[in-house]
Amino acid sequence: MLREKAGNIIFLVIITTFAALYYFDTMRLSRLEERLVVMALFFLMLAAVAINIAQLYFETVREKKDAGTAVEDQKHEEEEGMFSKKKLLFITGAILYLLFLNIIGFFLSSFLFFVAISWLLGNRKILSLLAVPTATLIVIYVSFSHFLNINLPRGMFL
Amino acid sequence: MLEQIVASLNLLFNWDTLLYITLGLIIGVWIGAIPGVSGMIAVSIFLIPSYYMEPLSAIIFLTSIYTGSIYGGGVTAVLLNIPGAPGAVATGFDGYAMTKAGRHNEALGAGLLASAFGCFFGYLIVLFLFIPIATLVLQFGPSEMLFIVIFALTVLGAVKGNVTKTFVVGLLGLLLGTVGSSPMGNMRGTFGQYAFYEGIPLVPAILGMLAVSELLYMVDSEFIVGGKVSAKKDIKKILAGMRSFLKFKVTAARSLFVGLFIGLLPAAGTSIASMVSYGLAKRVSANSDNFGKGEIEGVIAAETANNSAEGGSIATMMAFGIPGSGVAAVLMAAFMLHGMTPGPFLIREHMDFAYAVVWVNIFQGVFLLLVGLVFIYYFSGIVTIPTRILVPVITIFAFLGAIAVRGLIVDAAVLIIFGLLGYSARKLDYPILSLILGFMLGKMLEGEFIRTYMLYHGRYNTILERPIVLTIIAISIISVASPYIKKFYLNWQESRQSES
Repeated sequence: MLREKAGNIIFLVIITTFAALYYFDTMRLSRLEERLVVMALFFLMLAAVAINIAQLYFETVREKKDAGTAVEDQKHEEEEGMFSKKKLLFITGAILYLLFLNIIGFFLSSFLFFVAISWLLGNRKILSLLAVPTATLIVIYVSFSHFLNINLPRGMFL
Repeated sequence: MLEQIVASLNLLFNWDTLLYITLGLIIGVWIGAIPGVSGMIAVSIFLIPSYYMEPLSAIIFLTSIYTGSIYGGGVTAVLLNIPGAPGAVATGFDGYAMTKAGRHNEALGAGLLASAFGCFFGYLIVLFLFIPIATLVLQFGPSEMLFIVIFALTVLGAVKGNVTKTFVVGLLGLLLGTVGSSPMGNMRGTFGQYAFYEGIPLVPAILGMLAVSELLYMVDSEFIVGGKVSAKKDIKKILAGMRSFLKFKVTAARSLFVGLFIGLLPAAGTSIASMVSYGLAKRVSANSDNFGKGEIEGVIAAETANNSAEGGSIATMMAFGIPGSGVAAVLMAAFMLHGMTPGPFLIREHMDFAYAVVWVNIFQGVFLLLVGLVFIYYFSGIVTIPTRILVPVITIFAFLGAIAVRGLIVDAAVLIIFGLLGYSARKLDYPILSLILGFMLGKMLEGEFIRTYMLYHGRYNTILERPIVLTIIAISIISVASPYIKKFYLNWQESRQSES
C-alpha cells in the first residue's frame, strides 16, 4: 500500500510540475485574455491536488493505526508495482521503435519491434515469430501506402 | 416542404443508389475500424474518384463511407478498447469491459442496432425539421456555446469514485486541452515545439490514453477474454445484444436527441456528443453503479449519440455552409466539386438535392444493419488471437494511426507519453473518462469563454437574459440534481412504506 501511495504522490508531483511549467510559460504573455483561463485552471488544479495529497496522508495514517500493519505492509510490498518487468520492457521497446522509425524505416523497425515484443510475451515458435510479422506488415504496408495513400516513414531502408 | 420531400425521393429510385450505399458502407466500416484512420481520411481518399460520378451518386457514396466509418470505429472500441475515431471513445468504456467478460457479441449487437437507430431516426428528424433546426442553430452565439461546454463538463459529476481524483484529472485534461496557441495567437505550453501550435493532437492523445494504456494491461495476459469464458463467434449472442437494445428505449431516445442537438453545433462533434450522452445515461440509469464495468446501456447511449450527431453535423453543413468537423469540411468540398455550394444557396436552389441526401442517409441506417452484421460476425474473431500477436499488431496500428493524421513523428511521441499518463491514471484509480473529457473540451471552453468575455465585457448580466442560456443552465441543474432528487424520493417512499 505504501508503494501505491508513493506512486500516487509521484504521479501528482509530475502532473503538478507540468501544470506549473505551463502556468509560468503563460504568465509571460501580456494580455489578460491569454492567461485568464489557464490561471484559473491551474489554481483549481493546485487546490484539488493539495486536497488529494491530504487525503492520501490521512489514509496512510489511518492504515498505520489499524492492527497487523507490519504483516499487511509486507504482503503488499510483495505485490506487483505499477510497472512490472514486462511492462517496462514493452515501454522501452516502444520508445526504441519510435526512435528507429525514421532511421531504418517503417518496415524494418516494425518487423524488429513485432519480433521482440512477440518474443517478450512468450512466443517461441520460429515460424510464428518470422512469418506472422512479415505477412502482417506486408498487408499493412500495401494498405496504408498504396490504398490509403498515407506516407509511411522511410528511413535508410523501407 | 412536403412536396419537396416527396419529390426528392424520385431522385433515388435507381440501382446506383443501392450499389453506392452498400459499397460505401463496406469501405467505411473497414477503414473506420483501423485505429486513428478516421472517417475524414476515408472520405478524403475517395473524394477525387467521386469527381467522375454523378453529383448525387458521389454524395451518396461519400456519406455512406462516413456513416460506415463512424460505426467501424465503435467495433474496435468494443473489441480492443481502441476507438477507430474519437467519437467511439465512450463506446469502449463499457463495450471493452463486456469483451473481457466474454460478452463481446452482445456488445457488438447492441452497438450495431444503436448505430442504425441513431443514424435512421437522427436523419428522419432532420428531414422534417430541417428549417426549424437551422433557425435554432442561428440563435447560438458564444455565450450559448460556453454554457453547452459547461453542461458537457457537468458530466464529470456523473463519474463515480473519489471526487477529488475526478477533479484532479478533469482539470489536468482541461489544461492539456488549452495547450497551443492562445486566443491571440501566441504560443503557450508548447515548450518551443511548433508541432503543438494548434494544440496537442487529439487522435494520438486519445489513442495513447486508451489504446497504449490498455496494451500495458494486455502484456500480462494471454488473451483479451480471460479464464474459461468463451470467445468464439456467436450469431445468437449478437442477436441477443440487438434485443437488449429494445430494453433501453428511453436511453436510446434521449441519446438520439442529445447526439443530434450537439452534432448540430459547429465544432462540438460526435466525440463530445457520445461522451455527454454516456455521462447522462450513467447519471440517470438504475444501473449506474455498473457503468464502466460492462453495462450494455452505456454502449447503447454512446453509439446512438455518436451516429445521430452525424445527422446534426451534416444538417448544419448543408444549411449554413459551416463544416462542424473535418469530415463535414471534406463533404463540403465534394458538394462544391459537383457545382453546389452548401449554405443558403443550396437551400434556395437545390432543396430537393439536400432532401435526397437526407433520405439516402436514412436508408444507410437500414443497410448498416446488414453490412454491420456480417462485419462484426467475422471481425469479432479477433479476440481469439493471443496477445503475443495482438499486442505488437495493435501497437503498430496505434503508431500508424498517430502518424497518419499529420505525418509527424512527434505525434508518436505524444502517443507514448499519453499512454503512460493514461496507464498511470487508471492504475491509481483516477477516472480516465474525466481526463479524456477535459482534454476534449479544454480548447473549446477557453475559446468560447474568451469570446463571451470580450463580447459582454462590462454587461455580463445580459448573458442571463438570453433564453437559450437560461434553458441550458436549467437543464444542467436538473441533470446534476436528478440523481439526488431520485435518491431522496426513493428514501422518502421507503420510509413511508415502512411506516405503513
